[in-house]
Amino acid sequence: MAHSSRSKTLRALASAAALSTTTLLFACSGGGGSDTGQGSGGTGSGGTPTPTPTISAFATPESTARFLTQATTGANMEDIERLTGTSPSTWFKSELAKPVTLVAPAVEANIAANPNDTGSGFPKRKIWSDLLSADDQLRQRMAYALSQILVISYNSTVGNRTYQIAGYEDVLSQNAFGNYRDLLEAVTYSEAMGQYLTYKNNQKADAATGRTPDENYAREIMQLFTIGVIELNMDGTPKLNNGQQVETYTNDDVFNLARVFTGLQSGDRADKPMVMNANRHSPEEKAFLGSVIPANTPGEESIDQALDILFEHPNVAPFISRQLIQRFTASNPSPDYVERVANTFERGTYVLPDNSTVGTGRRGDLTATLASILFDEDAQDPNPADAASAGKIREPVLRFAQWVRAFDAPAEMDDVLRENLLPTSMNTPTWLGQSLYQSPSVFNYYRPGHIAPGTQSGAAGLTAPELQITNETSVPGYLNTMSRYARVRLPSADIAAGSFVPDYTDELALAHNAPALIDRLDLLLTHGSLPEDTKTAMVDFIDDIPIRTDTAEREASDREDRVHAAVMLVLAAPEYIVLQ
Amino acid sequence: MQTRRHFLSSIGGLSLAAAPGIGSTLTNIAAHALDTSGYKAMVCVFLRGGMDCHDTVMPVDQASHDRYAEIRNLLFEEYANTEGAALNAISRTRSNLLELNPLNAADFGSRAFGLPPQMSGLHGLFNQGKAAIIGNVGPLIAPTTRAQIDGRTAQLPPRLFSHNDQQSIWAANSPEGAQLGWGGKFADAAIAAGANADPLFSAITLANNDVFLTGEDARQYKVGTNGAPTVRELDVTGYLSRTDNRTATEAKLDALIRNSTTGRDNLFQRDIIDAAHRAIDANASLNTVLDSAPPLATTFPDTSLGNQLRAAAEVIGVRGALGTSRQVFLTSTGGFDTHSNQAQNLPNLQSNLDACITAFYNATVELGIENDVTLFTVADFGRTLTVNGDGTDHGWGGHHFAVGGAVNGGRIYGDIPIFDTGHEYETGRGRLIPTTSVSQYAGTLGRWFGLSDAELAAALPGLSNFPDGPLGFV
Repeated sequence: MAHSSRSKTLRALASAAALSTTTLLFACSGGGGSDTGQGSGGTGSGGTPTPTPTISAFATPESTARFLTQATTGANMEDIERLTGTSPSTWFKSELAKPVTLVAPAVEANIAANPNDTGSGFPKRKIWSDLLSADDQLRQRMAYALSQILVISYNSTVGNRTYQIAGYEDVLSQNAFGNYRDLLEAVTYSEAMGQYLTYKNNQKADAATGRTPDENYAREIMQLFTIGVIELNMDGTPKLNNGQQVETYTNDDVFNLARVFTGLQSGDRADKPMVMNANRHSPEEKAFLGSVIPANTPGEESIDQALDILFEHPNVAPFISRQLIQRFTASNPSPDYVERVANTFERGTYVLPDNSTVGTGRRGDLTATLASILFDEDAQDPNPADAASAGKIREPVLRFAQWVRAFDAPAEMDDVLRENLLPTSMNTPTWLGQSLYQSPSVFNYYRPGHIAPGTQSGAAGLTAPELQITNETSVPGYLNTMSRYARVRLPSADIAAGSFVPDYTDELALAHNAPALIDRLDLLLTHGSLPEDTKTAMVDFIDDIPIRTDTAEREASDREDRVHAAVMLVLAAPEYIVLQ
Repeated sequence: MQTRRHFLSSIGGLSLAAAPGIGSTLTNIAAHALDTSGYKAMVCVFLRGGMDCHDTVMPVDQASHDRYAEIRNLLFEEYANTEGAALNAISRTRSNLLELNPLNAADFGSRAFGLPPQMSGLHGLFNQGKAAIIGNVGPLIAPTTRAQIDGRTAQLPPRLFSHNDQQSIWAANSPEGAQLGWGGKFADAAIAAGANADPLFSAITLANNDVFLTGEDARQYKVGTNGAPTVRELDVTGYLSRTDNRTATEAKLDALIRNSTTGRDNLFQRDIIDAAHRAIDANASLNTVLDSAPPLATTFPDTSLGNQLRAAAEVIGVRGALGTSRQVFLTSTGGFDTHSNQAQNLPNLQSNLDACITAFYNATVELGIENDVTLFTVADFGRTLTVNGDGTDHGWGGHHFAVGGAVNGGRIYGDIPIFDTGHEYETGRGRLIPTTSVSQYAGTLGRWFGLSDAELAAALPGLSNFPDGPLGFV
């Protein structure tokens, strides 16, 4: 494939966009369309507008709670009350306009104030704190989703993890509403990824010693970050040739692409882009995926061309779109859903329910892609035709986050938010078995194609990534972890300081009225989806817990028991764990 | 989609009395041949990332080692330089390697092999005849030559060199998304023969979830490294002691924490509920048994793998109380994807692996069951012989270990291709074309485990493509 003038233009645009990653490009059509009416959502690949489904988000408190659960790290009552009856399109655009919360500048300020605090604990706490409570919630959720596709991990062996991880998180959040091609480039140049996938200091071949370039990134950028291992239809299903899947690349492609990722070395600081050492870059021809980057093409130009070649592969839209859907709304998205989102990825724009358009029109636009995921009929419909396979299994991090946000359990960056107070342990019997940037490998905590063996969803052929970390130790691990937080069983010093202490004021006021208490928790945590018989059983149990009134202290304590028990019951409910 | 015979495991309160009935029901419906006398356990150690076979079984005859050192000169420099000494603890210098004296040395002519200095335990077990090396094993559809590959006439396993897919193919003969592993199928044969009172304890993972342990009937059961965790919510005592009818209230709480599939049609929710039921019931059963068992005297390294293998040994130790006679275990350890810093990282990984396997063998001796437990290694793949500077890249075939009293040890099975590029079992950069298939490797273990030829053929569909069949290392 030639390096076309089109991609030159795109690159120029990309550079411009990269300079202003926080400047969000969305064009309002000026129409004051109602979000509850018919919009013109996606257009087919042929450009024909297709009707947007009736949007129920924000129509009722329940639909508000549900949409916030899909789009943020969790709903709270204040947001539910404030947003119900308003326009979800307006909310979406207001989220796009919020300033990005960055980590590296905070690390810098912290080290300036506390010169000895140079370890990775600070960014680790900061990234958690931002996910749980930063104002730019939609962006936080998108960056979190991207961190599970473009995976790096603290479990990397060496390096300055403090600035590496901080810089990497910033790359994801700065590009979360940008373009996938720009994101790919920023990731490729990030020292964190260079360190994690071992191409930092990777060198050209040397005949004298028999050295050839490290193949690690060349393989994984194709397998995991762009095209995947088999050719895909736009709906994410495998293309078949005589009944056989078609592999996208060979080992020769990897061997050649490995030459591209040579010569990169540390930049100014570990959060800054790596720089090219021309002497170490391979001058050899790089022939892969049917394209040729000629011999003696300089390093940065080689990377630029290689990323274009990968990005322009038709697999990218369905491959990335399907994984993003899985991270927001559906563990097993329907092929039609994948195709609608992949078409948006290709088109680069999306018409919101209020008839305004988001996205730049450039292929790979992540704002449009995200809108397409959240406003899709499959995501919006709380009562889908195929209820058996609908919904997303909330992974443990999101289950924890929703509790924090629902009860305003503070996760501010202060001295008392110690690292060991965060659920960062991967030890399943006692913790969540999932955390941020602690995947055991670049293959994330679970695979997007995981079909859980020996399960009912597996027998039906449904992908269920999150079931890959569900087992007989993770179930108690999750419940016991949440019990420590929800029942306020943290170390007393932290409780005294207010860390992760929930505000149950409104729930305690309903402790004597079990039906009202359960109704409130049902709205807040499960968007009103608990079955009636389950709620009845919960009420029946809560009513068994006596409230002694002989002393005010006992009464308060007994009310707490009721609230703590009720919260735990809802956190254990299948409706909480699986968002439908 | 496979047909699943959904097995109703009797996990509530370890109803051992009821379980043999289930076993005998299956006896009537399934033709089975597996001998259930005594006890046998297979213990898989999965080396995630793909251990470098060329840096594990190394040449020690002068000519081969010279060529090896030449090809790996950059890595050799790293090995020597790491601690600044010409010959330090990790050096791959010939004199630093632990030479193997296989009983079948004659099969290799003038070639001789050694292990790295970090593997003294396995070296000792090999020389005692308790460990075997199985050379150049990997996924194959049929015997494959370089000429067939170069001529594009070879029928190759899909997605070669891809971590997750090759792990899945090793475990389940199919890439990501596979549903049935050979460990699970072997456990199926055990379940069909009524070998285990509670089928749930037939296939046990101490590691992460893996398709390896799932069969038609068998499904993996996860045990933590400190026994089976309990749901503490169910142990909350404070307010329960003040309820009018504590037993009734506890029952309500228990039902609410478990939840019920009744009226819930969403398959993900049903799977989550099933997992909760297994977690609560089976964990309680297992803990009851584990709590009454004497602790093992053997000490294990306090590492992830050490703790997993200790926990496996503890479960084996209560086989009588659990009523199990045939079990398959899975453990795993990662970090072997040494694209970079191989000299800094691999020796530590090998040292840990060696200490863990040795401790596990010693624990089986302590339990008096060393002749009934066979440990074996599995990995994504081997690695390139040529280096990328300070590491190696993804390969295909690799060398493996089997350890136990039943192992016909002190021998090297299969082949250790020459340490060079350009030969007939090499496909670029010294990536080995396997000369023994995973199905042959698994078939050897399955035959020992007690599967009949028919059961083996059903569990390992590709096995019939290999005329040599199982290898006889155990």
